[in-house]
Amino acid sequence: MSGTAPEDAGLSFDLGRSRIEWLFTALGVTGDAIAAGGLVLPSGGLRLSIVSDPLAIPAETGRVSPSLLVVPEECVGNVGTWSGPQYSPGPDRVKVVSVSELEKGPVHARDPVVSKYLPGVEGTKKGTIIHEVLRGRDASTVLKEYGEYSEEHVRQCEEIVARFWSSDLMKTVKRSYCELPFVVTVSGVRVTGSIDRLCELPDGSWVVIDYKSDPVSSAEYSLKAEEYALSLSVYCEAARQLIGAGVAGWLYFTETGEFFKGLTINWCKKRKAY
Amino acid sequence: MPFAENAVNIMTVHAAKGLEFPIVFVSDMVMPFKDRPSPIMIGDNPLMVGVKVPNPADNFAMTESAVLVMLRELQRQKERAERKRLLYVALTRARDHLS
Repeated sequence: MSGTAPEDAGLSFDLGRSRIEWLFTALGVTGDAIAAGGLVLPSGGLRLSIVSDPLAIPAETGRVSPSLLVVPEECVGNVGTWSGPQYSPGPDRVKVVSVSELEKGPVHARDPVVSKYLPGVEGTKKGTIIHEVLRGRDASTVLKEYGEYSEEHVRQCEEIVARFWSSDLMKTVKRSYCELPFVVTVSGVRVTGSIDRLCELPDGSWVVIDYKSDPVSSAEYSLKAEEYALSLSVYCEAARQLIGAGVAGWLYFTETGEFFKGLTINWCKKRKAY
Repeated sequence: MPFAENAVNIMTVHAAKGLEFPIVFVSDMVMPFKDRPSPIMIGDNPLMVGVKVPNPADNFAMTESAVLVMLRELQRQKERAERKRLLYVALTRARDHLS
């Protein structure tokens, strides 16, 4: 405790203007006690030392400081930089033609499926951008970050988000969490990842929503559900361990704005089940 | 919340409630008490409202009513009492030394 001795000793508590003045009043500290270097308190025999000169306070001069980090020679002078992740274009998805279409005339062997949203943006990058905006980030910022900014792209991203939130399912959810990180052990393997969205429905049940940005039509949902059964099962298992109750898994196709109940693997029976 | 044992913990008096340390430093002992006068005060009895009123004896200058003065004094006493309780908590956290 440190402070200035009150000019008028013996102030009443009510007139004390600071805590140190209260202390002087309570302990009966007088000018004599200050000159004597302290006093023994009547109750308990405790000694109160008073030092007028701060330099007279015995101080330990030793100190512990953290050891310095030695920068490797080859790194000296290098300035850190950051660059966005690199994406290499994956294989195009191609249209599947029916036999009757084939009979009508020549068709292009590899007619690519064009996405309604962010056409021309590489698939993995597009998926990342859409995940980012669906988790609540500003579309312009995300698109600039990934070098895909244009007013039309911003509009499309905002449309995806608006469509998602205006869906019947999202309009009724009680609670919703996004990008939940997890580490879970399934079949003896430790798996890490993050759940796109975990929602509690009005009836108290929980659903995991996994966003899918592939350009798919509703006819392909079942096929896609098979394809994503493993990853969705891991998300559901992680969510089950988080909330301690069974969780259903849904795929949300951003291209069509539709939900589809996904397939999940029963880890105990090691077989696929609805 | 766990506290580091071989380190200095900086905390508010409220956070230190119920804890004990070998050495305790109590800072800000000289900070003057500040009374923040409010222009309108309402007592525990809500019918008792203290405001400034025009004083006919002083050319209708706005003057603190007796109720306002009284409520302000009550408030000051309450705040002082709370400060005393807090200071008591702070000073009684030390096991060996209080500085």
